[in-house]
Amino acid sequence: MTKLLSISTLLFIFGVTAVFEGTTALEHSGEGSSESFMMKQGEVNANDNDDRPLAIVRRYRPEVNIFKAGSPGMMAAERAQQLFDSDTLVTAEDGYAVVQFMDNSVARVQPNSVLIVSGEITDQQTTAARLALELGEVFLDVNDDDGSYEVSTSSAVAAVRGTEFISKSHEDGRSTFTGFTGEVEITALNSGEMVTMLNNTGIDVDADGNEISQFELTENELAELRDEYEQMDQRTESETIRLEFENEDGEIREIELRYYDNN
Amino acid sequence: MSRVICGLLLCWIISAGWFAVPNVAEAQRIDHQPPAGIEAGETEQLVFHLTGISGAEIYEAVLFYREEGQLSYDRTRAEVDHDEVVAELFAPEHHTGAMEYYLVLELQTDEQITYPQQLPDEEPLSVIVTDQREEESLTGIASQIDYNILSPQPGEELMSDDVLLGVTLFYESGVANPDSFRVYFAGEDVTEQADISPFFISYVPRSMRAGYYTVEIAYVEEGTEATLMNWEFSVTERTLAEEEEQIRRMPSGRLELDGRNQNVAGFHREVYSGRLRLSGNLSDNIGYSFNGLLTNQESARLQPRNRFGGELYISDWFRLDAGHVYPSLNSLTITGRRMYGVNAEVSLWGGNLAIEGVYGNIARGISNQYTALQKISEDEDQDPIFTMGFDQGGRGTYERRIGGGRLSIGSGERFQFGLNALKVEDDFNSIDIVEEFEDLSNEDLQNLSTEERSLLEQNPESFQFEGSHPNPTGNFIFATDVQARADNNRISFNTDAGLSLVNQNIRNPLDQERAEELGIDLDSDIESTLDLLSNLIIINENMSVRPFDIEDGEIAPRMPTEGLGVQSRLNLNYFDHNLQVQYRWMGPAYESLANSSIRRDIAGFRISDRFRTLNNTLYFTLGYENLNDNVLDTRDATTNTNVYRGNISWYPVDQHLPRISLNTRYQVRDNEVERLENPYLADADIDQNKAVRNILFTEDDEEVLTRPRLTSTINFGLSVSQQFEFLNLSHDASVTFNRLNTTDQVHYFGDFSSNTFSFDISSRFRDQPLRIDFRTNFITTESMGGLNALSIAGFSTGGSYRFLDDQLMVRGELAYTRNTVESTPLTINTLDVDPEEVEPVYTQYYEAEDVTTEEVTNSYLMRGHAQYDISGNHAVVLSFRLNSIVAANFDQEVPNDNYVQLRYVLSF
Repeated sequence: MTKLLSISTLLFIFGVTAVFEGTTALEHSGEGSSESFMMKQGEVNANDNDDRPLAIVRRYRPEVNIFKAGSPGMMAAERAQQLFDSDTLVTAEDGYAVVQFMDNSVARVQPNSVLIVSGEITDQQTTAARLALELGEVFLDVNDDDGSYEVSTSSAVAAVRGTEFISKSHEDGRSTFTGFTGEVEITALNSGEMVTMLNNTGIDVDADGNEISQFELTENELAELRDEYEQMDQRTESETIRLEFENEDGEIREIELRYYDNN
Repeated sequence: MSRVICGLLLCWIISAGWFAVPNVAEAQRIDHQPPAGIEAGETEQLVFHLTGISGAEIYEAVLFYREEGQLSYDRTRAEVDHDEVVAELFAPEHHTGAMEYYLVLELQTDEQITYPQQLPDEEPLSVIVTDQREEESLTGIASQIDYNILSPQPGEELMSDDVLLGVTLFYESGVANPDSFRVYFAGEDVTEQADISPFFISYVPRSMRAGYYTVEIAYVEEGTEATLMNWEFSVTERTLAEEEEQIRRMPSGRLELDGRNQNVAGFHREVYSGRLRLSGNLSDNIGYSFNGLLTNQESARLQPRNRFGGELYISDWFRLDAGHVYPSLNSLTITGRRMYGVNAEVSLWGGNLAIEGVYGNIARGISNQYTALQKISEDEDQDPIFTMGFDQGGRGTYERRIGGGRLSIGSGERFQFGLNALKVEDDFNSIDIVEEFEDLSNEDLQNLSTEERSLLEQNPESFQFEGSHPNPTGNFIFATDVQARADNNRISFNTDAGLSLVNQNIRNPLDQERAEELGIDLDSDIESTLDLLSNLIIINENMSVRPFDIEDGEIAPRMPTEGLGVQSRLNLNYFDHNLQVQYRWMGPAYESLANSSIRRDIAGFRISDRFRTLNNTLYFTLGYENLNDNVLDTRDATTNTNVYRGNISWYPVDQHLPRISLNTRYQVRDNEVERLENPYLADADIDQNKAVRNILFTEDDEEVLTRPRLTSTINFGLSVSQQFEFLNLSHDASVTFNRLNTTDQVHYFGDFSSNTFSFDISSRFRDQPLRIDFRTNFITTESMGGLNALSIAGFSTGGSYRFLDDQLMVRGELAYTRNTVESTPLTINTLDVDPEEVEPVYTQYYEAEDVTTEEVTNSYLMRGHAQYDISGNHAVVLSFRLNSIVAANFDQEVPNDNYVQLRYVLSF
C-alpha cells in the first residue's frame, strides 16, 4: 500500500507539473501564429529558403569569384560569404575554395572549376544540396547520413550520403569520380546506367554519358590525392609582411600586408 | 572478554549496515566538496583534499562511479598529487539523472581508506547531471530559435587567420527580428560589425592572438537579453602546415623521478620511483600511448607495484591495449578492473558492429611460504606428528586468469545490442601447495634428521598441515545488454541481464572417478558435456550456482535462478521533467570475480522525478526506492528497505548569487520479525530490546529465531556556496551541514546520530599571484545508543604564492585537529537461572559497563610544497610533511609521521 501511494504521488506530481509545463510551452509557441502548432522547432518553411544561405565560403585562395543568381556580373569571394540557391562559384588558375554547408559538410573546389550551388535546407539536420560541377574538380566530404547531396557533371550524376569522394569534370566532357569512404551511386546521364562506387575505387563516365568504367586505387594513390588537397588547404593561408614607415616627426609606424604565395 | 564481545558486536553492527564510529584516532581525513552539478557529456574534476595522508603513502587511488541507481560501479584511476587526489568523473551524454561516486585510496601499507568513510558503496556521493537541452531551454521568442554552429566549433582550435564566426538559425519566418540579435565575440560586443541576416550570422575578426576565447549570441526581447548560445574555442599561432607537423612530431609525454624518505606509523621507508607517460601519432589515423611506473616497492609477495601499459589505435576502428590495462565490457561482467594482459577492440561500419576481447590475469600467482617441517611429538610412545604451516605473511595467491569478449551491434546512438562472455579462473597449478606428505619437496624434508625423515616416509599420514589454503575459484558469466534511444534521446531504455556460474573449488572436476566418490551415476554423455563445458567453467559439486541437481544419485539439469541478474532503466525527459524508473533483480549467487561492486540478493524498483523551473535555476528531485533481499525466499526473514528522497537545488545564473542545495532522505529497514518477549528478562525488569537473542519460548521448548530489524534513518543536508568580491579579493566560500539520525526500534544500543558542519573559503588576490585557503569542520557522532561519542574539531589554513615570473610556486598548510572520544564498553550479561530450567545463554542481554573513558588527542600538521620550473619543460618539486599526534589526557605515545620528497619532472 505504501509503495502504491509513493508511486501514485510521484506520478501525480509528474503529471500535474508536466501538463502545466506543456500548456505553458504551447502558449509560448502560439505567440507567433496558429501555424506554429504545425511545425516543429528546427524545421524550415519552404518559403524561407530564399533567405537562407546554403553554404558559406569558409576559406579561399584568390582568385575565386561568385556569380550571384539573378545578378549581373561577378564579385570576388570573401571569407564567410554566403552562397544561396543557384549561385555559381568559379576558381581561377590559382584559385581554390573551401565551401562549408549548413550541415557542416564541406566541398573543396580545385583551381579552374565552376560549381553551381543549389538545393534547400529542410530542417536543422538536413541539407539537400545539388551541386553542378560544370568544370574542374571538387572534393566533397558529406557530414552524415541525414544530408542528401548530388553532384552532377555534363555526363553523370553522383548521389551521396555520408561519404568522402572527388568529382572531376574534364574539359572533354568526361567525368571521373573517386571514392574514399562510404558509397556513391553514379548514374550515366544518357544511358541511365547506374553503379555503386565503393571506397578505394574510381569511376569514369564517358563524355556522352553512356559508358561507365570502374578502376581501383591503391592506398598510396588515395593518400596522394588527399595530400594534394591538404596542400591546397595550406595555400589558403596568407603570408604577412610588415613594412615600416617613418613620418616627418620621426615616428615609425608598421603596417601589415597580406599576400598569397603562388609558388 | 567483555571487550572482545564488544568488538564482535561492533563488527556485527557495521556488517548489519548501521553506522559506526569513524576511525579517527589517527588524524587521517579526506575533505571533498561535491560539485553542484555536471553537464551530460562533460567531464568534471573531483578534488579530494587529504589531511594526515600524504600522496606518497598512496599506492593507488580509484574512483568508483555509476549512474544513479545502477547496481554496480565502474572505476577509474585518480591522480594523486601530494595533498590532494584528483579524479575525473564523466557523465554520459544521454544520462540525465545523477552520478554517484566514492573514492578508495589503497595505501602502500595495504590499508584502504574510503570517502565517504562509512558504507561508501551503499551511501555514495551524488551529483546532479544537467542536460544541455535544459540549459538551452528558454522562454519567449528565444525559446523558438534553434541553431547550428558552423564555425568555430565548441572547443575547436583554429589558426589565428582562420577564425570565422558562422551560425545558421532556425525559426519560423517572422518570429524573430534580426535586429534583436546580439553577438559577443572574444568578450566584445561585435553586433555592429557582424553580418546578421534573418537566418545567418557571420563575423570575420581581424587576426587574433593565440589564446582561449568565448562566443555568445543573445536575443533581446522586451528589453531583456536572453543568451541563445555560448561556447569557447581557442586560437593557435601555428599554421596548417605546422599543425600537420605537430601531428607527426616527436611524442609528447612526462617523465617523473621521485625520491622519498618517510616515517609513517613508526616505520621508516625510502621509496624511489620513476613514472613515464607518453603519447603520439604515427600518422593522421594511427596513435599510441605508453605509461609505466617503476618503484623499489615491487615485491614478489605483493601484486604488481611496477606497472606498464601501452595503447595503439587506428582511427576509431581499432584499439589495442596491452600491459596493465583497465577493460570494460559490461556492468555485469568487468568495468575498469585492472588486469595484466591484452584488451583489443575492432569497430566496423561507424561502430555499428564492434568486437572486443580481453585476455590476461587480474591477479598474479604468489607462492606460499611455509614454516620449516618439524616433528612435534617427542614422546616415543605416541604416534609421531609432523607439521608445517604458513610462515608469517606467507599465504600465497593463485594466478587468476581472465578471458572474455563482447560483440555489439549498433553504435548506441539509437540502438545497441551487446553479447558478453567472461571467464575468470584461478590457475591452481600456478603455485605449489603443500597439503599432504606427497606434496613435500626434498628441500622441505631436509629440515628433518635422517631418522625423522625415515619415520615420516614410513608414516606419511603423520604429516599434518596447519592452516588451510584458499580454494581455487572459477567463474563464468554470460550477459546481454540493450540500449535504445528515441525522440532526440528524450526516451532512453537500458537493460542488462546476466547469468553467473561460480565454482568455489575447481580443483576436482566432476568426472567418472569423482562421481564414483560422490555416489553419483554419471553417464558418458553427461561426462563429455561437462568436459566440454569445462572450457568455460569447471563443473563439480562445489558450485554455488549449479546448472544441475543431484537427485537419487542422478544428475538432472536445472535453471540456476540464484545466478541470474537483471537491471533495467527507463528515462523519460519531457516538459522539463526527467522521470526515471528502474527495476532490478539480482540473485543471491550472482557474482563476477572481476567486478566486486555488484550488489547481490537484492530486488526492487526505484522511481524518481527531477523537474526544473524558474528558467532552469531551481531543481526539484523526488524519489522513492523499494528494495528487498532474500529474493529467492531461502532465508527466514526478508529485509525490506524503503527510501524516500527529496532535493531542492538553486543554481542561479548570476554568479553573485549563492548556490543552495537542500537534501532530505528518510529510510526504513524492516525485516518484519517481531521482538519476542523474553520472560526471564521481563522478570528481571530488563528492557526486552537488550536481549542478545530473539527466542520463542514454548511450554517445553525454546527456539532461536531470526534477529528482528527495524530502523529508521532521517538524513538532512544543506550546502551553500558563494563567489563574492571583498577588499579587492575574489572569494569562493562554501558552508555545508549534514545531520543523520538512525533510530533502532528493536535494539537498545542501535541508535546512531551524526552532525557535520564545514566551512571553506578560498581567497585570491587580484593583483598578486597569492591564494589563501581556510577550512574548518566540526563533526559529532554518537553510536551504540550513545555509548560511544566522538567529536572532531579541525582547522587548517594555507596559501600559495608564485615568484620569479611564475617559475617558482610555493604552497604551505598548517592544520590542527582535536579529537575527543568517549566510550563506554558494552558487555553481555547472563541472568542467574536454573540451567535445568532454561539454557543460560537464552537469558543473555547487553548492558553498558559503568566505566566511561575519554581520550583526547591533538593533531598538528605542517605541510609544504615548492615547485621550480627550471625551463619550459624541466621542473623540480620539493615537498614535505610533518604530522604530530599528541595524547592530551592519556598516556600513550603516538609516533610522528613525516616525509620529504624530491621529484624531477620532464615534460616533452
